[in-house]
Amino acid sequence: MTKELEFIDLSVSSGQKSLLSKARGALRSGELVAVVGRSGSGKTLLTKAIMGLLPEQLQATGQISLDGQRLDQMSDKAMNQIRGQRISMLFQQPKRVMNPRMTIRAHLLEAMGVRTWGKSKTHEAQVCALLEEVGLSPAAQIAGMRPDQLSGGMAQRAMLAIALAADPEFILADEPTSSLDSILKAEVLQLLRKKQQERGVGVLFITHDIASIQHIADRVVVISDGQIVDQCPTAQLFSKDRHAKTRELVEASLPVLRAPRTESSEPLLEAKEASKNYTRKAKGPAALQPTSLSLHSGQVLGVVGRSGSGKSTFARLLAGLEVPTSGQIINQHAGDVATRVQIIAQEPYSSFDPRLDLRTSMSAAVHRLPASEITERMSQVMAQVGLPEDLLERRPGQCSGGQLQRLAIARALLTEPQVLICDESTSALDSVAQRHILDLLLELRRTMGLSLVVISHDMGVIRYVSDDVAVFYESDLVEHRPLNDFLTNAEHQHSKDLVAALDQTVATSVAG
Amino acid sequence: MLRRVVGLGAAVLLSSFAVFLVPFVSPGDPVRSLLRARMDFGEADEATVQAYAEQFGLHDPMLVQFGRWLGRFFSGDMGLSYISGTPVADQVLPAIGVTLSLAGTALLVAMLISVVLGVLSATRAGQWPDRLITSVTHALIAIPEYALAPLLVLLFAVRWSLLPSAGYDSPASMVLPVFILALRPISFFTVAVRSGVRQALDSEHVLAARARGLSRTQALARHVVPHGLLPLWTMVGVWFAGLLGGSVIVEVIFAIPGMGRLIFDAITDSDIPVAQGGVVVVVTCAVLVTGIIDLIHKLSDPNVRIGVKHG
Amino acid sequence: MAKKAVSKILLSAPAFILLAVVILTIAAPLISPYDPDAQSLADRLQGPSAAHLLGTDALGRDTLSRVLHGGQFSLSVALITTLFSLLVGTVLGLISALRGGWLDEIFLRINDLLLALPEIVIALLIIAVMGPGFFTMVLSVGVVSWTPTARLVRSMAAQALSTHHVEASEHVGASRWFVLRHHVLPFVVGPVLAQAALRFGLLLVLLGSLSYLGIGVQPPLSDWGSMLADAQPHAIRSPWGLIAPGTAIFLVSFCVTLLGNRITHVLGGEDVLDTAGKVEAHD
Repeated sequence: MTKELEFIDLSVSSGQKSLLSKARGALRSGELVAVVGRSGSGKTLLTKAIMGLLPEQLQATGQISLDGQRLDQMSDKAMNQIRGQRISMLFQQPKRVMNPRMTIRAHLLEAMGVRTWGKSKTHEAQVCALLEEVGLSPAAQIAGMRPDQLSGGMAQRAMLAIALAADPEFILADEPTSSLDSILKAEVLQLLRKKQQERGVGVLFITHDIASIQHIADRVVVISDGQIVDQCPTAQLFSKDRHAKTRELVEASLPVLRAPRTESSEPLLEAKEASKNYTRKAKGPAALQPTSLSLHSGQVLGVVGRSGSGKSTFARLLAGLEVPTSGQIINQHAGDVATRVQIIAQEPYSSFDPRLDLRTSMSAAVHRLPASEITERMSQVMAQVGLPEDLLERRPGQCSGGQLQRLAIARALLTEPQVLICDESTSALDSVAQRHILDLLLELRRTMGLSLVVISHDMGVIRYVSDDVAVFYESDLVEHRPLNDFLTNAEHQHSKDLVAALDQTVATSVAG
Repeated sequence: MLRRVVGLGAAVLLSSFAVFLVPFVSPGDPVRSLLRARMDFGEADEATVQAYAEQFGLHDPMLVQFGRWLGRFFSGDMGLSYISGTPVADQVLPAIGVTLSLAGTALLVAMLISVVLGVLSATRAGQWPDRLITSVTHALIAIPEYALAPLLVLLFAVRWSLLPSAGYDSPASMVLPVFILALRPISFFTVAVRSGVRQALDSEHVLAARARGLSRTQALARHVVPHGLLPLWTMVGVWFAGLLGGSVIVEVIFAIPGMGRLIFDAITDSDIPVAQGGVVVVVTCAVLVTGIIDLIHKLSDPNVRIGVKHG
Repeated sequence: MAKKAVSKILLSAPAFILLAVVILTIAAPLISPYDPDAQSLADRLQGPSAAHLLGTDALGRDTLSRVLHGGQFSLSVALITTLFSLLVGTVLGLISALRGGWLDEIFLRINDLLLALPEIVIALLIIAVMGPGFFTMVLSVGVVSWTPTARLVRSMAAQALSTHHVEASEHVGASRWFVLRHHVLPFVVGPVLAQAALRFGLLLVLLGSLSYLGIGVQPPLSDWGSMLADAQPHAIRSPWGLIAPGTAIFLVSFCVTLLGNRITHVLGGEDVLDTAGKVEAHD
């Protein structure tokens, strides 16, 4: 029997400010509807408003009906019966959202509605069945673990199990794959789609990444600045009739063919059997096994791998932030001129002191120069990254993530670097902002001859910018090839997995 | 963990050494002072004194004497009181028992009250219960107990004859001292609990728990409060240690035969062995209590026990 | 924005009350109705009256005058001790955080050690060796009271230094001084001032207790603590001897704590008593 979850004229506001305005839509059993929008577009509020879990400062108006029953008119107590039982949620960071002191079993029991203590055989059987359904094995052992003991992928699966525990009719998924690497993302998306179809659940999938839902969504809803601006079946996503915002999102996810650079030039940075070990024991797990690699002038090297694969350690060694335990990093060129290397980190907001205005923060790079020169250099770099100069008077909290990453790049440019290392610098941004930053980096390469090392767990990013691809797997460099060669002839199994994930999660351009 | 133990052990050693040095730095002949702590030699002349000094090794290097003194101390011989001539241990050990029970009760009461107040304050943040409780906690730490105590005694013991004015022999006699001793801890603990609970409330744990269908109260009890109480554990250890000697005022006012009063009396009477014994015992207890609470905290945190790295 | 913050702190009820108290105490010789030491056995232990606004003590001395004069001693000792602990604590905490390494480790151990020991006991010990008096009071209390400040400063400074933005600043070439000036000090100054306010209040009470026990201020000088000791035996006849100095201590301490709390709020914190959140646990 088809059930329907409908919302009509749903608005959320904070005082006078409207955050979500008159949203209308319906979700039916057995369909997966994607709600796509940039950060701050109001998409997350939709899920919280439906569940009645908005923070106290926000007010919601409008109708929400589940199978004819008005949810917006229900008391909190009545809603407790709906939440978890008929509608459940998926979250972006499972480890942050689960209680670190409770076992997975406890979470599942809670979700199933079991409020008593003591084990029961029926419940235990249900717990194990759920875990096995999401591919977590051996179920009994995992049930007894705590969230910290699970890997990222396992935690995400556990969260799905928790959401499915009470056999709900609808699931509201709030960016469940946005922080996962490409391989995990593909796995989780497939799993979600599979379970959704098996159980006939209606899923509302919130995301900023239109490419990720391309293969699993039935319908797509586009939201921008608190308003729903477009809706269509997934097949029609790439048509030219789409709203401007939709097209912007689609374009940000399409790959672009680029002529690869093949001219060889002098090596600027070289790693010779460089390794890093953080523990004192010689036989302990190394953060990075001996690795050799060289970076040439004007080259864009894409470095891909999962978290813990050693890629960040490698980046820090190249940047000179750490010293290799064995081997060496040669950062000189043309005889003995030191190569200037700068690094851009992942989280834009932690790269700048929240208390300082941005001009002061940036001046860290040039504070020894005479005042007139400082002002001149600042204007120069702001122009290079395409930001208005008055932005410098603001504080980080008053800027968007995309703007802050540009400022981080600008700050790096103040030191006139030759190599720029971007360590997951786009991972915290939405897809459109990501594209802007990547385009900026490529532009800087073109105008300044900068070499780039772009590190990411997202294959889409790697494919967009790289000339060459280096793959790290379990602290080892396992593959290093030019991009096209990598996409067609990768040898290592992990590389193949990455390329396969690319096909599943990144938009393939559709003719027309 | 081992470092902590070593650190605490060093604390005891260093403070014992400082205490041991007192006769050497006070005015007067150290030899005679040290001798008086071992025996009553009355008006003996210099030659006899020197003979005794030789016998007890009082001219040996300081560290050697310290070692001996420490050894004797922890096997029960803390010397003789200058005033009464009786063994110091006979006075110190009952006194520490009294103070431990006083401090322990006060802290327990403080913890219970502060959990209630803290949770109440955090869940009604910004509203009148919160503002009232916050004002009260700030006021409590400003109260001089040596003014409040006599006034309370005046009211409860003299005017209304409800409670005894002194002594530590009945439950009724514990009420006022425990109450006064608990005031300052209540303030600090309440603020800590409020802060912890607020942080937990804001976290996403609560959102997810409610999304699983838990009511506000259930989410509070299972997910918020346990997290919110965490800061309390670290504080209790430090406060217990502080209260062991810090109960001096209360003990003096209520004539309670505890450690604080013992040390105070000993110092005013220049009864050095008793003062030494008292201080070392207090320090040792303080260090032990801090260590034990630390241990309990580590053992009860399941994540630490399994040795999981938080990443 | 800074001006608004400062005025919010200074133009407040607690600040005004404190100012009034300070002015009154400083002006004590000018405004007290009687000589604080003038005895008048005929007027012993009277309650408040037109002649004696706060009554008289066991020796017929005017309580109001004694409170005003006693305040000079109480407040000045508390102030000097607070400044001492503030200075020593901040400097040591900063050095420890900046140097890092084993110096930092040792410093933390010593800090732990001092924190684990009851304050009063150490004070008593020092007084035992050096005899009571003004200087001993400051020293004995000062020796232990710099510890929480140092802990706080070291903690905040270490926290500031380990943030990503400091690493980023250093990577682009910021000097040590730049980091200290822009990243560390602004972070540290506010909480330290708030804590200093709190500490003043606590020290006022603590020093009063030393005087109460007879090992603080020595006759013929007197302060609020010693007044309380004098008044206690006669409390049944005239509780005013307790109420007057007790309220004085309470009022000053309370107002100073409220000021400290205001400073904390202005900086975005929740409560000045909340040290648990600021001092990280460590092994």
